[in-house]
Amino acid sequence: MALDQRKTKALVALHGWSAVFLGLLLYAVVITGAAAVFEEEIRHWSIGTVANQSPFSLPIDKMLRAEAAGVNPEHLEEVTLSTSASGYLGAFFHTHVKAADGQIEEYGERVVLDPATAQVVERRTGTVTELFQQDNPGALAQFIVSIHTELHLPRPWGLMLTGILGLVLLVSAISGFLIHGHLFKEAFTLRRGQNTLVNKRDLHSLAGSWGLPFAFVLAFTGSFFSFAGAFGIPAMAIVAFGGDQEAMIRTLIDQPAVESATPGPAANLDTVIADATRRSGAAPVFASISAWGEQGSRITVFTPASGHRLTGQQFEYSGNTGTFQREKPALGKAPSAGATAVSLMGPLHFGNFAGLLSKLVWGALAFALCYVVITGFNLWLQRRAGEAGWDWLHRSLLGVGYGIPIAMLASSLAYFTAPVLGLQSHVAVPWSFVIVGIAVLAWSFTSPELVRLNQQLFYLCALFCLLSPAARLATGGIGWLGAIQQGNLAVPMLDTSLLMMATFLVFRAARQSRHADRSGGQDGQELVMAAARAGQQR
Amino acid sequence: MTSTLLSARFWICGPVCFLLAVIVMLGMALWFPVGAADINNIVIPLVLFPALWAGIFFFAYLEPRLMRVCFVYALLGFPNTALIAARFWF
Repeated sequence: MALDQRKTKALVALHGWSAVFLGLLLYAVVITGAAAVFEEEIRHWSIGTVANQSPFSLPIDKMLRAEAAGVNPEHLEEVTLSTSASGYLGAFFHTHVKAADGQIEEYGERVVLDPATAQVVERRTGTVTELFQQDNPGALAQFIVSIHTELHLPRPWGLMLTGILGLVLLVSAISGFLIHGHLFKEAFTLRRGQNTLVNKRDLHSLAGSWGLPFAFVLAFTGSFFSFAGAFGIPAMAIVAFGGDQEAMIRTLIDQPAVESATPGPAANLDTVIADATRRSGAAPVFASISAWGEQGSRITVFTPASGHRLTGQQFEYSGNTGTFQREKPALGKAPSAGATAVSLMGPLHFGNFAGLLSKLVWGALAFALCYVVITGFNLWLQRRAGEAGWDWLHRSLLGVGYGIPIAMLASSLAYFTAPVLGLQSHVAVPWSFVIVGIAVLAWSFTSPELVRLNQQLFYLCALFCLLSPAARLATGGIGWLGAIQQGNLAVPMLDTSLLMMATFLVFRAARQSRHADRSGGQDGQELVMAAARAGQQR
Repeated sequence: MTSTLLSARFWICGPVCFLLAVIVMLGMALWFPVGAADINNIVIPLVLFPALWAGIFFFAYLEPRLMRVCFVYALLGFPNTALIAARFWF
């Protein structure tokens, strides 16, 4: 695409300045996103002992009937059934109440059952936020996702911020596409033996060119999720449904409220779940029963993507007789372009449409995007090496660039050690992230020598990579052999990845050190270190 | 920095652009075809919001004539605002 000189200059300025102002936050969202792609693996790695059988494949009807007989009848308005990595079934018997902020929220009793032994593992009452925010076994995976989606800030501000960062990524991707007119050529250009700035520009353009379609997809889908959750859905409810958010949600999921208060029979859940499993070819992951034990009751069973399908399926049954009614579209009462578009957003953003393989590709591309952000910063800083006033950016780059991975590793360390220290995991995990993150940032701003700081942070990151699996094993975590026997491959996979990462970081830091000694700090290949040196030269 | 904050284009490309994208998205809920599932008027504008914003933003940023930008903003903003206002007042 040919642009005139004025427009090209304006786009280059936009590409650079948008990254300078929000690039570090964008890096935070992308690197936590690279980890969040492996949410399920992190959950299995942190919990250790996982069930290789879905609770939906065991008889649950009798247990749930017994529980339903004991709960407040108002809480039978809706019952949701979910699975956990440990093989338990979570049943949330609830009604809908208006929270203090005016939002409709689910309130009721949550019972965690072990279908293998027919025992109640846990029983609690509260709102959905209270009940699910205190998930100690899943605290690490939940936190990694929360830091990615909302930067762990309160709603809707966290979502608004990540939505804006999604738009910044969109601006960078589009402006990058427009200013790099020879995109195809740049995707295969790496001039070795040239001066380091040209070489670094090539590396930035090469990684950026390959990552461009991915950056565009991530930015688009990510800002959709953030803005829709932060204000899109409530605002649409105001305009289209006179403010009735519940009515809009019911239209979207095509579940009109069941008004009948006439008692009716409750269908056998085991028969319903067996039928849904047969239809989809995979065990369900979620089920919802509306108006249990009343006339007009409905059961919706959700199955995961399997076979050639990119998305999961939903099957609707009569809650009174258990007869199959229909396969529901993802949204609305009939298949539509809107429902297809929304159902594609999740797989495209999370990369979970082809199991571990697609997740590995998504994770690698997200890391490549982090590399593009960091190298972009370094190019910006190197071009301004003689200018005063950029020291804060050098230090922020080091503090955030290393601080976030180190803080994430520290939160995993806190997750494993919290029970030993008598702390709640869901409290220890976020606090350790915040404390370690701030400490690394403070260190970056107070360290007198940036080149040495860069190496020290490399070593610190490597140390945390080693400490996490060590803490997991030392606190009673499952061994590799036991995990493999259970079918939990996440344990050896993540442990090995962390050990490999630690080895790589140590070698890299040692190489940097040799380079710095040999060249007097002028010819290092390491980009972050080069930027640090530029700051030191002033 | 001060000159940037005083520049009309900064405000037009920043907060006004975002507000306009929100207004068009909300307005679409009232004029976009609902489709067979009765949801397209709600879902499609939500999905398209990032594209709407990006389109408006790059046009406002790259178009050299500010008056033309204001004209296009008015063309998009007034009908959608009028539709939303009519939904509540009439």
